[in-house]
Parts: sequence; C-alpha cells; structure tokens
Amino acid sequence: MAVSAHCPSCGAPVVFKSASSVFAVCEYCQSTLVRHDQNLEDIGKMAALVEDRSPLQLGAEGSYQGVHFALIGRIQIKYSQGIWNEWHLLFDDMRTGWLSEAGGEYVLTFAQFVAEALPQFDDLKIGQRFVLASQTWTVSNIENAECVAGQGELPFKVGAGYPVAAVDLRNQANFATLDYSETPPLLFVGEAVEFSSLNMANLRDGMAVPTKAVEARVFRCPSCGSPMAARSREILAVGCASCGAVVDTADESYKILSKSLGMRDEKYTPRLPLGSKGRLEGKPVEVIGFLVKRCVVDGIAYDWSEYLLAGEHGTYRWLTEYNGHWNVVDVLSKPPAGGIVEVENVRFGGQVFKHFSTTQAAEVVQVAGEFTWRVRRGETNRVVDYVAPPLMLSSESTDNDLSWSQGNYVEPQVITEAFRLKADLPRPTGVFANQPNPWRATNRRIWSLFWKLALAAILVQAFFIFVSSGKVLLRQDFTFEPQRGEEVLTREFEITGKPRKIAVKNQTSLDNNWIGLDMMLVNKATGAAWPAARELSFYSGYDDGRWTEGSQSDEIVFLNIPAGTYYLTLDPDMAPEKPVAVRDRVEVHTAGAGWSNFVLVMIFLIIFPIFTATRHAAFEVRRWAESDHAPVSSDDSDGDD
Amino acid sequence: MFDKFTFATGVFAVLLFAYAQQQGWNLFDTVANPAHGGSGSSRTYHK
Repeated sequence: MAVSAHCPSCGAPVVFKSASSVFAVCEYCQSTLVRHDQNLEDIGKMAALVEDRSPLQLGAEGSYQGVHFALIGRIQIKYSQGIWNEWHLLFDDMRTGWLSEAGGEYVLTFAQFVAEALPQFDDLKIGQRFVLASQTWTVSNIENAECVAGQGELPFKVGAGYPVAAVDLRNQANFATLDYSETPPLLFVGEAVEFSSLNMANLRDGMAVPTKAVEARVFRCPSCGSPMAARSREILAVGCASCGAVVDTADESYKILSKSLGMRDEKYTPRLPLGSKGRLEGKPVEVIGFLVKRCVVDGIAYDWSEYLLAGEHGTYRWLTEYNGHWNVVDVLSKPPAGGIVEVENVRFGGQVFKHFSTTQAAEVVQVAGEFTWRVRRGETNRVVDYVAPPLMLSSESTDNDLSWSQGNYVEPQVITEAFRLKADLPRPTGVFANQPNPWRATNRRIWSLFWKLALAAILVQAFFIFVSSGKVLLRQDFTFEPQRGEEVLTREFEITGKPRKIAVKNQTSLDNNWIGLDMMLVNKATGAAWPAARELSFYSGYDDGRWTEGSQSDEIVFLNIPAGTYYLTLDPDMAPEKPVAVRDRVEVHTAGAGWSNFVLVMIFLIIFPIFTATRHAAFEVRRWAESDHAPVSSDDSDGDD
Repeated sequence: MFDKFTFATGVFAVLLFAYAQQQGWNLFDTVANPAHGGSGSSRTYHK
C-alpha cells in the first residue's frame, strides 16, 4: 500500500509506492529524503541527473512475464566507460526489481538471497567461472563505479559519489550482478530482455509532460580546433574526424583521451560517412562512430574498420569491414558459456562455432565520431573468434571486461542498399572467416541430384539384370580329340521374339595348351550364318610362385540375331605338339545387360559432385589458411641443418 | 545455371544408359559381327 508524506523542505507530497523504499528524492526540490515511519528526514540536495538518451522515465510502465510494473526510482551510475541507469521497478504483485539500462542493453534482475558465501570482490577476475545459486556463471565485467544521482523511490540511500563496486556475471540463460556497495554484498539475478518485450508505455517520446530534447553539444577539438559534436551525454568520447584526437566529452574541459594522429600515421576514410542513416534489417540506424583496429601477426599489420550504429530505443549495433567483407555485429546479452580461454568449439544458438583465431592484442589505431565509452587510440583487447558461416562469435576481453558479440556476414551490396550509397562498395578480396561458402548450397544440391540419378541408374540396371537376364538356350559338352580336328554341330535351339543379342561361351579343359575354334551360328531355316573365330590358350606354372596366362573360357556375342531355329558349328584347330583331348562345354544364352554401361554412367554422374565438392573444399582451404589452424607450410617446418 | 546443366546432362546420361542397356551395348563384349548392326549375316551356310 502506498504511503504519503510531505517533503520537509518544500512541502510537496511524496508518495512511497513500495513498502521496501526507504529513500526518495523530492521531484520538486531535489531534496533527498529518508523515510522514518511516518516522518521524512531531509539529508540534503541530490545532484542533478545527467541527461541521457534513455527512453525511460519515472512513471513509465511495462510488463514482465505477464506482471505489470512501474518505474518508481532510478540511480545513475558512472563507470569507466560511461553512465548507466538502474531503474527501480515495482510490480503489481509487490515485488521490486531492477531494470538496468547500459549501452542499449536492458537487463531485468531481482534480489536473490543465497545461503552460500558470495565471493570476495578482489578474488574475482574476468572470465572466471564459478557456481552460485545453482548456476554456473562467467565473470563478464568488474567495475568500480560511483553513483551520479538518484531519482524517485529507492530501497537504500544513495548520493553523488556513492561507490558502487559491482561484478556482472553471465551465462547463456541469465544475468547476475554482485553488488559490493553493501555489506554483505547483494546478489541480483535476472536476464537480459528485449526492450520491445517489456511492452513499455508512458515513455519519454511523445509524452504529455515536458520532455527535454536531447541537445547535441558542439565544441571545438582541443587539438586542432575543428568543430565536434556529441549528440547526448551518453556519448563519452568523440574522435576528431580531422586530426584523430579522441576527446572525453564527459569532462568539462574536453580532456584529450588520446592524441592526434601523427603525420606518418596511416589514416583511413570511413566508407560509411559519419551521420549516414539507413535501415538494417528493416530498422533505422545511424553511423555515429568509426574506429580502426589493428593486429600484428608475424610482423604484418592487419587493419579492419568498425562502425558504431545508433538504433532505436538507445540500442547500438556494429558494422565491421575488412578487405571489403562486411559483418553486422550485435553484442550478446546472453553469451555462450565459457571464459576468456579459447576452446576448440563453442555451442551457441543451436550451432557449433569452430575456433578460428585468437588475437592477443587488437589495438585501436584510429577513432572518429561518437562512442559510448571512453575509447582511446592505443587501447587494446584480446579477441577470440569462432565461426559458423555466415555467423561469427567473438569474445573481446580486457582486464575488467568480457563481452561476446555475434557477427552476421553480409554482402557489400546489402550495405550499399541499406545506406543508399551512390557508389558501390569495393568488392571483397580473399576469403573472410565467416564468409559463406558459395559452393555449399550448390554442392549439397548436386550431391542430392547425384544420389537421385544414381538411384535411377541402379533401378535401370536392376531391371535389365533381373528382369531381362540371360536365358540359356543350349548347353552341350564336346571332347575334341587331337589330330582329328573334325567339325561338329550342336543341337538345335530356338531364338524367339525380337532380334536378340546371343552369347556363346566356351568353357574348356585347357591346361598348358591352346585351341582354335572356328564357330558359325547358323539359322536352320534360312541358312544365314554368322562366323566367329576364337583362340583359347591357358598356361600355368611355378616360377617364384604360381603364375597363369590366358584363360580356359571365352565368350563371344552375336548382335541382332533374329528369331528362328539355330545351331552352331565348331571346327577345332588343336596344337599338333600336344596330343591331349580338350573338353569344351558350349553354352548359348541370350545376353543380359552388362555392367560396363552402368559403370560408365556412374563415373559420369559422379564427376559433377566431385567437381562441386572440390570447389567447396578449395574455398574452405582458403578460409582456414587465414586462421590459427592453417596447415604448416614446408618452409615453416624446415629445421636448421 | 550449373544446377540446371548438371540436371539436364545427368538425366540425359541416365536415359542414354537405359537405352544402351536395352540395346545390349556392352564395352566388355567381344562381338562376332560388329560391322553389322542389322540382322544380316556374313554369308549363307549349307550343311
């Protein structure tokens, strides 16, 4: 039940909607009020809130998991990379929670009390994993922050300069914060949420109450005097497009975070000019920041560009470009399990990402435009990339921060159309880590087609083998005596139906001997005859092992033999030097389908999938040649003699 | 394009294969009368 009181300073009504709220800031006179039963104690004026781009405000409403809530308080916290808001929520079921708003990411948490002792702040390190509240967590951020200002109802006393030591923990499902500003520390557990899923209403934009338009601050670069601008106080660093100096916009005197580029430093021109507006995946974005990063491998510098895009509801996205290859990158609020130690594979979103490369020091070498953290030229982080084309997972870590992002490879044409560029972007050169293999889909289709056609060929072959198989028309044994060499005739046999292919097989008893056979297939009725002369020889022996030469059997075919009654004549020619009788079994049959055509058609069909598989593999070889897992060249493996 | 080409040539190859089987063509055959595709004989035989 809400409790009303009057501000002891100005007399304005102060309403405590939540029973757990013990602290409030008078919205009229900014007095900080501490609740004592029915009385309020004025402990001084609260510092003014820093203006930001947040679409939220006190009184805004939303719902989470079907329960309506209202924003009743707010803490603004300043940390090393900017300012974030912690909105105090009061749910209709009287629970209270916190909606964290930082860098365009929204995280909703609830206080959770656990029996186990919470780890000490100084014992925690980025990437460290441990179990807490029955979940495995990875330390993703360690901050020594301080409160800037408070607003509305709050469950504890805050004020400007109030220290906030906090450690963020993440796993694939949830998010947690260890708040060390209290003793003992507090644990808040929740999850990252999509802004749209909260069904927020009564937001700042379009409200009846006065909303202060966020005015861009314009100032001159303290290094070169060029005009610079920061669109809001949320922008903490601006890189001078003229000289490259990076300026701290939160500092009243616009302190230089990193000096201007030297004359010898290479300077890149952004392919997407700052201020460019476009639509990515149907959502409006604006290019507000541009930086160039560099890593050095084997003495060779590799530079790539990153563009910070401002989206709706204070969200941010990234575009990265390397050698004409573009990626749309989103920071993951629910990152994969794992710390900063590289692993072979990472499972995320139902896919397996393979480790591609680890960059120990990716250095910022050029900065232009606006950033939500205090970026400096020369600052470095460690980057571990995993790929599952067209996606790429990247873990970026410093001593106090670990973040995961997912990139989606897009063709330059997509960027050209998204920002309606007048000129086409340069064509990509080489193969990028997560560039989709252009032969992947084709290879799959061609293999699929191959298996279908191969099945058809197998069925055709089966049909001719089993349905049109050879039928034996004659089987007769002869014994050819030496020196006699008389012509013999076989029994008659019938060939029916359409003209057929007839095969005549001779299976002999030759043993280190030869025989010549002059055969004639004769149509009894017409006298038409088809001659065939065959010579069979078979030799064998032992000479460092058994050897054989020739064959005891032979088969010859007659094509297109019409129907009729036939017989065969056989006129043997035997070796005069070997007076041995030779037995011969003559078999005449209609010839079935052979296997040669089947073998040929299969060889022909498989040429296509082999071609696409080869092309696919060649592309993958080029991709992985750029990774940490490239095959070692012979030059690299040569040792000193 | 490559898909269509592969499909067309693959189907053609299978049809040609079926026709070859139906005709009894076989690379491994030793043919007695290869020069005569028709049913004519090389000569008339009399017992």
